[in-house]
Amino acid sequence: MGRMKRREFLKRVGIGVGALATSQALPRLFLPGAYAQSTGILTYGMAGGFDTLDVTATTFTRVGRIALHIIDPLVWSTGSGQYAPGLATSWTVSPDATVYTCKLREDVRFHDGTPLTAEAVKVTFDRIVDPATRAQTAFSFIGPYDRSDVVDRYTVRVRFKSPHASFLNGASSPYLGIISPTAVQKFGQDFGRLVFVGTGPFMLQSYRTDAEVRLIRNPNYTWGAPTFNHQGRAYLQSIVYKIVPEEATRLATLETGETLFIEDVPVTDYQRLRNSRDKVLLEIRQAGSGWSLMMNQMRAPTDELAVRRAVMHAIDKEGLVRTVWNSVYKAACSPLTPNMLGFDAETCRKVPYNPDQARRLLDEAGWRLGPDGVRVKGTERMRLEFYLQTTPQKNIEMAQFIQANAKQVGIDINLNVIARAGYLDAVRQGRHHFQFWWDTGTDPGQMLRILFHSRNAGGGTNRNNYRNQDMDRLIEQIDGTSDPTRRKEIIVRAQQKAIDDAVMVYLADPPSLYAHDRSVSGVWVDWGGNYPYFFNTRVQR
Amino acid sequence: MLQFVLKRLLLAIPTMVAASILVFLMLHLVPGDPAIIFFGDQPVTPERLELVRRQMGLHRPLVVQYLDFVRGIPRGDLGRSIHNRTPVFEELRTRVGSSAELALAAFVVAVALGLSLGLLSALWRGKWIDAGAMLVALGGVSMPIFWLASMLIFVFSLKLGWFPAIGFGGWNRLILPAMALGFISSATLARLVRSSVLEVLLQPFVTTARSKGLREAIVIRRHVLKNAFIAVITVMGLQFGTLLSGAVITETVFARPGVGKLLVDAISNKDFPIVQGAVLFIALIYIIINLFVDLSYAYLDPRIRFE
Repeated sequence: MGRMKRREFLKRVGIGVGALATSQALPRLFLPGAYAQSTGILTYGMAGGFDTLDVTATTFTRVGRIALHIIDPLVWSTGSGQYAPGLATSWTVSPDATVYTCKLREDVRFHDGTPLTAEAVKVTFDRIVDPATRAQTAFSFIGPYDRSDVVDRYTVRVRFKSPHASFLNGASSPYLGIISPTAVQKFGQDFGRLVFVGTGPFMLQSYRTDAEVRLIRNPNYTWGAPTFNHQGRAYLQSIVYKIVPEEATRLATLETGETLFIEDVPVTDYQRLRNSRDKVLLEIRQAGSGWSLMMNQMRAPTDELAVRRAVMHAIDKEGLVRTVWNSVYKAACSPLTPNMLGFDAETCRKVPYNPDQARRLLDEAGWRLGPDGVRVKGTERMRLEFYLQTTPQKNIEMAQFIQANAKQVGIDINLNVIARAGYLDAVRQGRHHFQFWWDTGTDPGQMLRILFHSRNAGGGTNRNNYRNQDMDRLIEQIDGTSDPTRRKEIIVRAQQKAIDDAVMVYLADPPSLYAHDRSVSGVWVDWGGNYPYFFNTRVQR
Repeated sequence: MLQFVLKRLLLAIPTMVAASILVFLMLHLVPGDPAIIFFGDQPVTPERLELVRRQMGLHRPLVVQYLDFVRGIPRGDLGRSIHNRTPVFEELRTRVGSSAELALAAFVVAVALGLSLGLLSALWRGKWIDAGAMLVALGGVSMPIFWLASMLIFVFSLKLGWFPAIGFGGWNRLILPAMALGFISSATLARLVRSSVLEVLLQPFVTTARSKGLREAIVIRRHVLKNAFIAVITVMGLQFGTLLSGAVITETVFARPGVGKLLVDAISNKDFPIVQGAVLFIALIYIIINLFVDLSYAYLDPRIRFE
């Protein structure tokens, strides 16, 4: 072959590149929606990566969202404190809420072909409390777990060391979903990293860290829960979870058709999506504890009741949700969101925005206005340290709003916006006066325990460092009471006590915001707003 | 030549050891307990916290922890993440392809754009072409990559539908991130090429070449570019390293897995093994790039070869 001249070579390369570019670009120009998926595949834009797919070990809600399709829970939660059969067809609870006996379905098989038995439930739960697993979310759901007894092949008795009325709530979450003992044993440390085997309507096909998770329909699935009016296999062929951390990009993928369903819709696009003709916005009030402000009682002057009360009156929550959250979030009243069992609407009237009242309280407590507009008491100046993380950005906006509100009553707040490692060090050691809190969950007892139980003070999750025996007793009673009416009464009392003791400032209750293409139908989201479930979903274009 | 390469490779060993020790010490000096970060806002008892600390191996003396890490390296064992216990090698392997693909494509864009703009600007110094090219370069220097990336998605994915907004694999998923990353990097290069070329253009040997009657194109190609490139190529090499390991924002906006993002996440989680493994990998890349840069000096300047 003769040697090609340089000019000829460049010309050929140019023609080649041009032809390739044209062939790739033209179809995009003339075929709108060329990136849309074929019917039966749902692409999901997920807001971030996670640690492991092993739902027993993870701390990520996102993993729960994926795993709910791979496992089946023992029961389904159909409302606050209401449960319907899942893998368990029936269950009984001992009067002291320490023993749960569950009867399992007999027709269920794991994706690896092994049958679901009482032994699998025992192995799953024992694995949660095994220190080697380093379980977190599942560990807090299973609470004071003692052991599981296999009564017969399809009956399991779960025992707790102390009353645990919220066990069914935990059992309805994906985190206590039953996994294949055979697969756990076979894959060891790779379980959750490369494989994850449950009994759910979808099976794990592939997982590429920080990129995507592919699930494929379980062809043998015939045990859909009665709640879904559909027992056979799922309608979708597969679900592809694409990890798209940047929210504007995630929204763009919904518009281009690269995804058909997205989570964490930015509030700035709320109105536009609500009015959209080809997109559907799903808005579900989130269950748990909304955005709130923890006030550290281990440090002066937030150890003074009057100061904490003044802060509560000084913050304009309505203004905050309007300014920071475009009124998509609602002003909060209580440590529990309004859809939680026992939410006390009375709390909304207890601490109104009243800066004059805040000033009066501070004056009465001896905090006089100094020449620079900041209050002083003796030699002490009211400068309070607010620790927060660098993300999300809304955190910083909320903190700045609170800082401005506090300044009006003579409180100087110093914002310490720091990376996660430094932040956790500071707040766990109690160097803060203020820090934000937000949590999702469907059990009120668990929420109140996290926020107020003295056992979680001093470096735990109760970074109010609030220690009160009466509150501890109330929380223990909530956990030990299975009767919903009685439970509700105690939950109301606990909320009222938290307000009376001015433990925290409740700022904003968020909704869970999802959006999907109009071609997607049959999406089920749990009442707590955390887990979109696609067993009944169809995609029709 | 072979001796030169071998010598440089041997010198790479102490460099990498020094880099890994430095990173190891810095990570331990910065506040933040990995076990506390692991639990984050989850409830945990002090006993459980201590147990996880032991499982992570943090109770051992620092020297032992470091030596354990070093001992595994010859076997290709960089340890496991202390958070999710995935082998560090695996974490790197699954991301290197995506990062390398993006770095190469962005490098091509940066070099093509940077060289063209720089050359045009230098050769037409003081003309409107110079002003235009430098304006583009100024745009590249001052434009936040986050904004540029979002705009590219808005125009080319959302409005025109030419390219997908996210993902990796396939050239059409590479163009937008490569354009964003490449354009920003091209700006520095363009300004450097301009100043280097201008400097060489004033050299007596260029005047000599012209006075011999050589065509301007040949003068530029043979005499000006070769000499101007000695400074440019160093920066190009360093830029490639940055493109490979520092494309965190681009990776985030275009939803691509990458080494940069892995490293940033690992630092914020204080996941020591991952940080050490990633830094070692990045150090190795820089060493290899520098080796290539040095070899290219020898090609561009015969005097270096003889030395």
